[in-house]
Amino acid sequence: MLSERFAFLLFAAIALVGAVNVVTRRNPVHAALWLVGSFLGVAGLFLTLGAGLLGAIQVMVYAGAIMVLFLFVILLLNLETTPFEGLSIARGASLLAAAATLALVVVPFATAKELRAPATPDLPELPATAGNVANALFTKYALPFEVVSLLLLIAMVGAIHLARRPRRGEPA
Amino acid sequence: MNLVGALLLALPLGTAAVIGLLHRRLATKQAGALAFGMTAACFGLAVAAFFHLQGLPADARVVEVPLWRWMELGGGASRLALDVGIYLDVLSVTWTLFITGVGSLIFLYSIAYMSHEEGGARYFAYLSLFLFSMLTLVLGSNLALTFLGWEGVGLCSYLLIGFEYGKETAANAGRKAFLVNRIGDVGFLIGMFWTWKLFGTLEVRELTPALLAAGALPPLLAIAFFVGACGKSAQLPLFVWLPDAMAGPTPVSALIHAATMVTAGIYLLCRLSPLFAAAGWALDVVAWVGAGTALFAGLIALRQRDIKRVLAYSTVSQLGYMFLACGLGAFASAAFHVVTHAFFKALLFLGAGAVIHALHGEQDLWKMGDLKHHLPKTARAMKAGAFALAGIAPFAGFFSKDEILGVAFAQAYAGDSSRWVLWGMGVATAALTAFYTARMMTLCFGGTSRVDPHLHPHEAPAPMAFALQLLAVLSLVGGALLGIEALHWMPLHHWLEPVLAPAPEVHLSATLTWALMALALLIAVLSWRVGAKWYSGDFAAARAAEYSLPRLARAIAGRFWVDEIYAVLVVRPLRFLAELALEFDTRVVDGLFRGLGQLAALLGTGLRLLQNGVVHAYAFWFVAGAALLLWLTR
Amino acid sequence: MAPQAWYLILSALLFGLGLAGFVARRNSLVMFMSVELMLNAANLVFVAGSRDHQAARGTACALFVIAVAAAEVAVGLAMVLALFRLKKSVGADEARELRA
Repeated sequence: MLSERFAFLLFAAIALVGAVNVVTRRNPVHAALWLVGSFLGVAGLFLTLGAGLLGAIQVMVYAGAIMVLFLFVILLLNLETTPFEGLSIARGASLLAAAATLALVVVPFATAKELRAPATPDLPELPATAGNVANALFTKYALPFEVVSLLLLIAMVGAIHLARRPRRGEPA
Repeated sequence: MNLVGALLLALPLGTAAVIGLLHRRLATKQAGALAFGMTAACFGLAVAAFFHLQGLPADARVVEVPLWRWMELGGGASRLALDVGIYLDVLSVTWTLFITGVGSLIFLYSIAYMSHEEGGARYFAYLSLFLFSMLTLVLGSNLALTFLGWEGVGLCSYLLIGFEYGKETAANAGRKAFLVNRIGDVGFLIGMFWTWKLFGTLEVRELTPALLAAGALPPLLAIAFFVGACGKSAQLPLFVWLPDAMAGPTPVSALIHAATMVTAGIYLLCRLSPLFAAAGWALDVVAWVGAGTALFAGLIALRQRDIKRVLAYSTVSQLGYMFLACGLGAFASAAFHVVTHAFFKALLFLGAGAVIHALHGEQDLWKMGDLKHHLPKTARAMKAGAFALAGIAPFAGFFSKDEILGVAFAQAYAGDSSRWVLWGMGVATAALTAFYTARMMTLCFGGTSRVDPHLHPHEAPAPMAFALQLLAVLSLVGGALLGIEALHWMPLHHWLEPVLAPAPEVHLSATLTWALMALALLIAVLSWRVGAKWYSGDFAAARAAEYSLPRLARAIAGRFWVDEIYAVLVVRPLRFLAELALEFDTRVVDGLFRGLGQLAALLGTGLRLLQNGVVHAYAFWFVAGAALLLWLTR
Repeated sequence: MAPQAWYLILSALLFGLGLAGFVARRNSLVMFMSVELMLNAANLVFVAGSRDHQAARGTACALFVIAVAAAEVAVGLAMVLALFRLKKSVGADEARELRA
């Protein structure tokens, strides 16, 4: 019990601190690295929740692939540290709106009794082991699974096309 | 017989449809030939129907041809069942005979008259449609069908008066005719509704016995139908459309405004004669309005210079005679005058048409003269018609008019002293009729020529002349054949007797009857003489006299300002209301819609400002929207 | 067991931070990263919400989110690259051509 709570607090802190720094660091490389940290925190949280597979995937895919891609791009573009431009009225208004949204999300979460998924009889109550997750993926969510694979293909093709250097004679 | 009845309606309708659909591809002559063939065929059918009825016993001379059930509304006490069917009885067959007979002659005449007009085929389509409507009116088995035909003839009248729709006078006249008719139609409708309420049916075969058995009936019910008849048959004060309707082609004036449509009112009264007979003071109103109209129109005709207008007012006047007859209870006499009037008035109009045609459109009497040398056949034929109109024996109009005056005299003599006034009005009108007819004939055919020297009038072409001759013969013998009271030779009366309400039982001695006949003849001949004399000599003096007479004459010339009264009482308020409605429509209603459009445009302009291409602005709206949604669904 | 509500509040906070970052930063790459933060928060809700009930399905949904996020990042970064070639900058407000 206690250890669980402690684990939660530890990982939560990592995630939060990382998040705050992502938003505030001026150097994009630093921001990216802090994001990686935040992801690791979230992965830990997944573990505390018993979703070991997901935690592993989080580290491998999110922290390991997506963030790497981010860093590639940042370093490729050789970006500089952006200075702080100051808070304009527009920026302030936006932040206010964001704060409002945050409040509107937090309050129900804080006051709700419990978040409960609707009862569905088609899958038995199973912990989130790899086998069970695979089962869910290949039976109930088979269609989204296929669609997502298609999506990844599209994304690949699209990314290659968008980022291509224009050849001689072609418009950008 | 069933087939005969159905064909009588189907043929004209079919012809109208065919010509109407093909009117751009048909030459006038082709359309005219088709239409004439159809009308002649209908006349043949009418004759066949007549002989069939004649073969039946006198009290059972009815053939009913039910075609289909039109509608059935309501239930129980408030049930209305209407069938489409044909009701062939002595009354409807009589009307059908002269409608198709005189009608076919006019169709024939039209082929020649309209041969050089634009859109002649369209003319024949309208004419055929008119024939269909008129036959529906007359042969319809219930009041609703009669009303359908009633409206149909009104529509065709509008279409045909305004045939040259580019000509403003014609277009206005058509509109005026339609609108004034409409006023009368309200009366008809009220009568129909009331009748249904009282008797639960509109079918003729059920109504007639019901009316006969009903005892006293509300006079206003009869008056309602009479108002409708006034509109259609141009009685006071709804006659104003008829003179203006002369703007249409002359055969149209002959057919619609002399021989057929205007007799629809009389037909209605005859058909509903049991109602009128049992409706208290309603018949008195009819008699007085008829006599008044006859005199009134006769006066106005004295000063008209357009040849067609003389005839138009004369028609109004003669229709007044017919209503007077109905009002006196002598429905059969009214029908008699309807038939003779159809002969000679159609003849007169067609003759006038021949004159106008020969003079290339000239209609002013003061610009005619001595045409009997150029148009001898026309002149002779028209003379027959003129004598008939003036009531000179042995021409047709004499007998029918004399009968009506005889009834009035008889009733007055038997003690009803108000009838003396009516008789007097009738006699005065007869004198006026002879006078203005003589005036017209003399100014047109006699005296010295005042015709434009560039015009070379020529005799009418064969089809027109043929129609004129035939009608002239009918005007000569038609009256005598159908009824000479003094000789107790009254075939038409006996024919119509079973259907009409019985005439009042008053008889004059033989001596009185002959005396009255002689008196009538004397008045007619004398008036004619005076008229002819006055205008055949120094017409300039006569014309000057016309223009210099004191107040009464000017009132007559101004047609008693009836149109002006209408303009003030009716037209101006209506115009005002129409302008008001127009203002409301353009400002308020249109403004509303334009305002909505402007609002949409405004919104668009406003929303466009959001699309400024700045990502952060979009981000802001994103978040703000999300916050709003979350707040709304909290 | 930590109470579920804690996880939910944490995910709400992460989401809020991501939102703030998205709104406040000018650098398009950092904005992107904030979006990733928000997606993570959503994943957390999925998993936390299904901890006691149908856990496998929560994980499956979260997997889909990750897959979509990956696709999105690929395409998005490609676009940032293309835009950088044109504008020589990664500022999100540099490209204003699509305006009314």
